[in-house]
Amino acid sequence: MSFIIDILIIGLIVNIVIIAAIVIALLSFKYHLAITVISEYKYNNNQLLLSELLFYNYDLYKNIYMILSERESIDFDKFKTFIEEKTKIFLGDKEFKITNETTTLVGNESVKGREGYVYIFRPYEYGMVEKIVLVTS
Amino acid sequence: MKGVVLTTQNVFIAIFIIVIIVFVYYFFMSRYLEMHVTIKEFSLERKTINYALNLISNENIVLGKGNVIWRGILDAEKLDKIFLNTTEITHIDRLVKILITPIDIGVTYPNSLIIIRIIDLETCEDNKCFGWLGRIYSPISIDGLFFSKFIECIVENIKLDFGTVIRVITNIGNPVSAVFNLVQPYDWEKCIENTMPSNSQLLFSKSFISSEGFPVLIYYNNGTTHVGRLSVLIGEVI
Repeated sequence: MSFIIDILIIGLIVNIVIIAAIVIALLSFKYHLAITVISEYKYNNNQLLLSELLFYNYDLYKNIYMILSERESIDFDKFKTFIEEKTKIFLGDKEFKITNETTTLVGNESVKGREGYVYIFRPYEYGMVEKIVLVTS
Repeated sequence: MKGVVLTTQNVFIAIFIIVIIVFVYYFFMSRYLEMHVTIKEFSLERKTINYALNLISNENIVLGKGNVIWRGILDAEKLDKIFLNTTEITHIDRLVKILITPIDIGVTYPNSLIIIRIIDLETCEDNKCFGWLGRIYSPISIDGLFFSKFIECIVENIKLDFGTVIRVITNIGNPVSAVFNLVQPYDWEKCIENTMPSNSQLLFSKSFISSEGFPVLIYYNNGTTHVGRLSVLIGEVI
């Protein structure tokens, strides 16, 4: 009987190790699936948000895209509040910042989190194209 | 002494070990089956995200001139023609009609209950917003599956008064889920049993895309644009 008990104990250990390995793999896969879907949503959300924001009309002649691309030649501070207000409608209570990767143009400079980006033309700048990044908490 | 000694203690140890092995296998199977459901759930969430991304480029609802369409900028005039806006939802019968009558916009998933909600965030007052609501046509290939009957059954079992229902719909949140939340769990079960084939399950998308939705711009005839959100709820029969 002790021989059978020994086999059962070895069997038990082997089973537990194999099952634990499979369960850990399944749980990591589940976590991976969940994270992937959330990332997919948040990436698309930020990307769309920035695109929509850029095409929001300030008046019949100007939209936010034009304001950002020509910001050196206009009184940009006057438009900052407008851009902030509209972004807040999209985002609710979430913190955000709009940057060109070197300086924060609008929003809270310390915000870190998900990013969405769009390249805009800069007609009065040497580089011509600039990457605008929206970061949301 | 040769052979196996069958003592009471040894028998109990053997039974104990066998029970543990059975339990471990049970635990494994339950995790394994849970993964099956999880994969289906997340594949539905991904479908919902893809559908919403497709919808914001759909020529039937977005702003377009000639061959050019503006992705993510919805035309309020087109939305009025296709969907019902919240000011038109004046009675519970109207709500039932919206949910029962499907709209064909050329993009759909089969055997699914697809509900679209578009909210103009700049018109919100006291947590009530102007918006549009509609159910998208979905071809049915499963025998005995009737979404119309299911929706009728669900709406019939809403226990609260009309005013509360409308308030729930126009609020920021998941409109249809909100309505469905007003239905008792046993009514849900009854409706699913009476209107769905017995071997099928109804799975609803429930993450961000069905509640928060994606950001869109809504273009009105007078040249103004408003900030809005488009959310998609998909119930899929599996």
